[in-house]
Amino acid sequence: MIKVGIVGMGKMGLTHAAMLEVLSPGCIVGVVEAGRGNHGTIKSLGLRAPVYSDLESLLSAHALDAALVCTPTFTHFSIVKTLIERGVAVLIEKPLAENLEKCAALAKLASEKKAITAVGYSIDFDPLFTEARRLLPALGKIKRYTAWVEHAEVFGPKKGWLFQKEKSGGGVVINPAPHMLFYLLEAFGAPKSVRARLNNPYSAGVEDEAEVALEHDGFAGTLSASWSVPNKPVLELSLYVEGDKGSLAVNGDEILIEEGGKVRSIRREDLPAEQVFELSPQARAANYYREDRDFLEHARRRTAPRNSIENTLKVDRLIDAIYRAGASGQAVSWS
Amino acid sequence: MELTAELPPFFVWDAELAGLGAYLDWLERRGVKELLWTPEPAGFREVEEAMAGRGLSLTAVLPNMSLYARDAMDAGPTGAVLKRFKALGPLSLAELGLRLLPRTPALLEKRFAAGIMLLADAEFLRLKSLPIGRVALHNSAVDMALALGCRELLTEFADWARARSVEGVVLTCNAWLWDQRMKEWGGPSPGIEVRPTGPGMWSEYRPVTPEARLAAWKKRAAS
Repeated sequence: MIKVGIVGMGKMGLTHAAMLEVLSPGCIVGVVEAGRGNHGTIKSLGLRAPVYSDLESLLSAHALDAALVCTPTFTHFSIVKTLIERGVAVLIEKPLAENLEKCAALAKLASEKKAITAVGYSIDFDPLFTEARRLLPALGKIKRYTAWVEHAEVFGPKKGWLFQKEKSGGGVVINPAPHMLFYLLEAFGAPKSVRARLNNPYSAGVEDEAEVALEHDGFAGTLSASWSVPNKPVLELSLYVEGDKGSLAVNGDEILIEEGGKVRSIRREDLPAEQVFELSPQARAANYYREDRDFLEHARRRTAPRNSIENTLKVDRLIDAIYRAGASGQAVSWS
Repeated sequence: MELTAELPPFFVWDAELAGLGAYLDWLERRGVKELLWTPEPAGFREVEEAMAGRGLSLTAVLPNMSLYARDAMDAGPTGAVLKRFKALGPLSLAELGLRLLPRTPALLEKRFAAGIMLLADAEFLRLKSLPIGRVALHNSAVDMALALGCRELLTEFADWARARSVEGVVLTCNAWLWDQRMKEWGGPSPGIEVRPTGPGMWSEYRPVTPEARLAAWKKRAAS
């Protein structure tokens, strides 16, 4: 059986632990949680694997095949570097790192070491969004698209590493938005140039809102991202696409597709049924199950997942371009 | 089985001009007998008023894990618990203190099950004025316990419900995993009914055609 470790046992670490225990019972051989005060909670959950306080202790005690990194962003670089150098397949919760330089260095290292890596863009495992991408050719020549990333999270100054740019890399653009950025890049390819307007009505050091214009060859897209939208208790990702033969909208609930003047709705229950573990239907947590299942399979077969560091570096480049465009007020050439 | 409906989050029905009462009237006409509600402080008064004089039974889904996760983001896990304590009156706080005494060692050890039941207790004490027929343990807590093997949560919940003389219901989104675990663990804790979660009925109450939904997206994209 594949031997897996989890580094960081906060909300995301616990979520992945639950997924892994259902996918492959007993595959977790050890976990790392720096806060010793949380060890009691982790042990009382029923997890049989030992809890360590640092990565070195985990690596000394177990020959890991794979690891999941669920720690704060600013710690990713050194942890991921260590794991890749030890030949461990690694899934990193997004974003990969707090700046492009570190992301590029990890991509280079992963490539040199032929490492199996994955970055947690869970939207790529959402059956509705996958189906929507499959349906895009039916719209004909793409004319325009608009994407939204919305969450009710920040309505005043907040404390913590997430709101310190040097630790988190930024605000809404680098934290919730990369899910959608990866999807847009996979669906529409790289834009030629990017313009961005960033606002921070609440946070001192990071942006709370972003309006991004993406200029492609022959069509244009916009992304509107905000973590200060009331009545969005969970992150909502939505996309509207217009082509010369019809239009399509997709969000967490359904796909609406207009073909030949008729509108068809496709809901989750209309898609082929599969047995998944669902921890929170509101948060579409079954996507983490699918993501972990895919990662484990690639780690077993030693093949590269679609969301490998190398293939997702384009997201980090786009994030960097958005920040540069936001700071300069000018279009940034990107492709 | 009795027909059950779920009350959507407060902001969904708060925006309705006709209010919650009209929705409950509609549910009753459909033969719904039980309403599942994950309590949010913002909607306490409206739910209390709308439920008065009805034949509907109210099942509180506790603790509100989404609200707890959001509060924990702002104030940390301990701060989120303290926020719930502060919302209680002195009498309820004293009652909570008495109820917590036997669980002190487990709370000091920060055991998951003890923490979940502490949250449930703090939230339950705020619902005294509401006609709560049953308490359902939140599916996220249950499913985390099923996945990782925390049988203790189910036994703690059964004891908790018994001590408070309420019917206990366990919600799960993973009935298949529940069956698997019950085989391994030798059956459910006594006094607990298990229910799969299902979609609410709000979208049937307020149907919008696919054409109108797509038109709304189109309009939004153009704005």
